[in-house]
Amino acid sequence: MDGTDIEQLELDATRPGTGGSLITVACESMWRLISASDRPLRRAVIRAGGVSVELEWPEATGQPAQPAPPQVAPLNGAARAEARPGPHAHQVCSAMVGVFYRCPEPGAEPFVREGDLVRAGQQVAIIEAMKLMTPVHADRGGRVEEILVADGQPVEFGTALIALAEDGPR
Amino acid sequence: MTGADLLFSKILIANRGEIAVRIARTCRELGIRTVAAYSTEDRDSAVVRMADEAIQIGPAAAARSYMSMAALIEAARLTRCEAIHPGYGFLSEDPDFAEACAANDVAFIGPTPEILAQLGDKPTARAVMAAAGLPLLPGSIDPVQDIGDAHQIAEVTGYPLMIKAASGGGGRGIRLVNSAAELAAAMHATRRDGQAWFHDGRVYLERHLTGARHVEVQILRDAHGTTLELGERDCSLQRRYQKLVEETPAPGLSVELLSQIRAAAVRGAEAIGYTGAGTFEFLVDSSQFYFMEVNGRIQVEHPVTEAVTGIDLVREQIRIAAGLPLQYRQPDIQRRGAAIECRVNAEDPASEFAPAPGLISEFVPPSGPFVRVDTYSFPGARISPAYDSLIAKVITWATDRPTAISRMDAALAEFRINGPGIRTNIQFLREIIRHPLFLDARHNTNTIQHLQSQISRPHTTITASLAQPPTSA
Repeated sequence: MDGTDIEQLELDATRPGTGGSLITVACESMWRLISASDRPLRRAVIRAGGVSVELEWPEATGQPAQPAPPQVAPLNGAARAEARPGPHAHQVCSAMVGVFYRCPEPGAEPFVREGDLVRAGQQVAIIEAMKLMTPVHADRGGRVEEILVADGQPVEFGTALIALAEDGPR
Repeated sequence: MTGADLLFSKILIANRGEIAVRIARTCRELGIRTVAAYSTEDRDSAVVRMADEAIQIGPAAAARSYMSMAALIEAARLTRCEAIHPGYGFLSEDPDFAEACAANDVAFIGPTPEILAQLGDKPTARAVMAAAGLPLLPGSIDPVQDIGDAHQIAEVTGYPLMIKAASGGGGRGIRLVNSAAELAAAMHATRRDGQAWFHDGRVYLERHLTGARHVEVQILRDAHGTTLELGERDCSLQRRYQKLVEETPAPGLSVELLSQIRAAAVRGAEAIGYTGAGTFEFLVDSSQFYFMEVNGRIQVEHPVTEAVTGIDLVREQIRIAAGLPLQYRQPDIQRRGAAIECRVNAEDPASEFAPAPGLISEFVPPSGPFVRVDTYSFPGARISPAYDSLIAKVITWATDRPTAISRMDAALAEFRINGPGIRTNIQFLREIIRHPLFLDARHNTNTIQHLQSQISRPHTTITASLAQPPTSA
């Protein structure tokens, strides 16, 4: 791998007391550590005065392009989508804080079930916020792989609601 | 714990940055659970780590997160919070938000919607305070109708004058007008600003005092009619209407004048039936003082008042919002010593104080006796370009002002903040607080501008005697 995969690279060799040779040694040891792993780095910090090499890899979510989920207590009573979908899935996410509903009204058929094919723009759920029902539309087409949130559960902005498999119609 | 069972059991913190951390601390001390409402930009922030729960309310853009009433109220409902603390800025003084909270059975930690509406409308606030006997600067009480009207008022007021947006605040929607020739253009621009920022194009005129001091009074008033003043703060060191250094007591002003100003603030709070923590702002010109506005929220500079009174203002805000009576009477408020606050911002003094946000890789705040640092930073934290540039507030206390200032200088010298792209105003703050004008309390709201114009290269030191190469330049 090369340095272009690294999202952020800091070099701190300009500070007083930083030896040029130290930085060379630190760089060498950094590249050694990086090449020992086949996963792209998120952050690398080298400090030469006092010597420190810090490397940070993103958490293993199977989706290197996505930022790691925040390490916070889950929403009160809400089952945060535990089962992370496979690497080929696309997630329809909530655009607001509210309550997730799968059906147009209580007792009605759900908008979509697992295994259904959906078109881009098709309504797949409802989020209720401030007593207003806001439709959730699929932002692309695909096969519904999994409904990630239980009916009637509170969701946050950005909560993954529905996993779509990539092999469906575009 | 006194009255703990009468307080809220859970509070939503509808803010970010250092004030969110500040609020979480007091809640923890009071045994109140906290929920941090955060935007995607702040998902790794200090308050998210510190709060008992956290809920992501929207994207980086404040309009869809920290200023989205629906997202915040829904977040409070879903997490079963009994109250919302709005901090400062964002929705903290929005009467519609306070009303929406009430409509959803969530207590808003701040004044009532009615009070916020009156204070937010500057012409109304000026009229109410004038009726309560507070002196106003010469100018218009009602909003200016048209340019003819403006010229007529300006003739009485005299130049220079300030043209201000009726709903303005936070240094926005204010323009200095030096002569009649500038009036029309300034009025047009301020109307446009007011419309853009506050959806209110009304403006009013006010005489501008050059070389005045900014003195404000901290008020606490409970729902049972007890009013306390916790002393004044001098916030005269400002850059483009943004405060940089604040202190208490106000130096170099007579004891009689200061007690008149504090009494005026109490009168104003009682006249309007204020509830919560609030700040009455005044301009002081030699032996005269003039009411400017009331800020119905906790203020950035509140820690200096806490340092000299020993009273936790956020705790009092929460207790007042819960309907509890104040536990103090005016004679209980003993102010001791002097306190000063410096705002450390991520901005580059070498390029017109442009914001210089980024990742913080090294963060070593000062410490030691009588030094307080309110911050949300840590090594690895990111100062986001999406929000304001405040990194930390450093507050020092001492029995007297000169000692508080040298303690501040030592604390700032100790502060190490580094990272790619990060620049700070620390060196600038040190030069300002060591300047003879400030040490001798001869400074005013123009001092910083005046000192800056004295030097051609802003990143060189302000006075030769203080020359010391900035560490980062």
